[in-house]
Amino acid sequence: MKRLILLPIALAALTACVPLQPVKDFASASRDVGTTARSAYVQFDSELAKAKYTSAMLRGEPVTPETFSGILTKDQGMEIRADMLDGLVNYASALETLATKNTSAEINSAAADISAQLKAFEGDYKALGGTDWPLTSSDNALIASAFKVTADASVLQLRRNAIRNAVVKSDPAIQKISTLLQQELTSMGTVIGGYYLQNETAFITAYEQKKAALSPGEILAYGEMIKVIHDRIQDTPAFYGKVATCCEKIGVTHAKLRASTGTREFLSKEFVDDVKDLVSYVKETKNHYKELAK
Amino acid sequence: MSVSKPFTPVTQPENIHQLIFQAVQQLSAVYYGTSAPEQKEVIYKLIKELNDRSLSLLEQEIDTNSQDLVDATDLIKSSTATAKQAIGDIDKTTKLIGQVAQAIQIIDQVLKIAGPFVV
Repeated sequence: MKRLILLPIALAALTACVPLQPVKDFASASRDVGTTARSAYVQFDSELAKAKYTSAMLRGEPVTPETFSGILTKDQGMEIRADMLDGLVNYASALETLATKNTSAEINSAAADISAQLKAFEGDYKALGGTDWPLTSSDNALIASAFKVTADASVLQLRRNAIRNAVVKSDPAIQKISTLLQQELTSMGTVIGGYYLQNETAFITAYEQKKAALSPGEILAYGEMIKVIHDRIQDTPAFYGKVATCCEKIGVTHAKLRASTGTREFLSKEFVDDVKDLVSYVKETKNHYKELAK
Repeated sequence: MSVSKPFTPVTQPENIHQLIFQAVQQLSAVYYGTSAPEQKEVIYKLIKELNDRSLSLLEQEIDTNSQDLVDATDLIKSSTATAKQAIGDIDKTTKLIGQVAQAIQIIDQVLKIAGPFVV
């Protein structure tokens, strides 16, 4: 009896031991990248508009409503990207839920119920038949354990199937999004960097022309503004470049997850290593964003 | 003041914006190196022209990419719906597993009632 029960327990336990933590980490990092990229798009338009109108006004050039706008808010560009990045965030959240779906509390409770019911059986059996119940207390415990492990394993298998289906179905879209975002964000970084250079020349020239009439406080205020712009010439393209690289890494890692979930091992070492690299890179990018937003 | 970077030989311009940014960096260095206001004005206009060209190119890229992104977004939303349905299925399965214990309890009840006849 015990041997018969122990065999399925051992087999099921082997399946249940496969961890889904790397999928959870990947999904969580993808969610962060989606949120940061969304902020980067919004920030691009506001930074661009500010650089354009401050340069024009400092130089006394004519301004039009166009001077105060970015390029994404003009048409549907921002709306499409916001919708797409929200879609990426929602997808990553669903993947994260599948990877972390904890059903053990319900299963533990069911296993405890089974153990209690078997015990109740024992008493009723004896009372009704007057003969001994054929299972000992440890047999009862074994049956409850077998039930728990088998149930855990079958739920894990359901989760793995669901992850595989979602990843295979979404991969073509993830690849397209990853490539386009990588290209756009890299370009946006250098474009805004160029405008900051232009902005810096406008500020310095304005300062040179007006410095004789400025109070010490006004001179310092100019100095602080020029310093902020000077730092952004390098920092902003670097930040957009990092977000672009994050998007590229999501595409590469998702493709590895897709390939990996089709194999018996389910999560390959290549995928797990890529996730570690992605998580660390996303953390660095988020810190960069916090610095830039100060 | 600004960081000056040398031009690098380019055989295949992979990112035109990067090349324009490098050109603007060079022009900016020249801007601070000259004291003649007329020359400064000419250089500033060149910088502005290059930046505006780069922005206009970016606008075109964004326009071209937009439809592709709409299609990809639809696919992502559909995949998310599939994943959410699977989460619901797992919840149902877990409830079903919990019902096994209840089934045993029912058997016990049946046994109590029918026991004297079958045991």
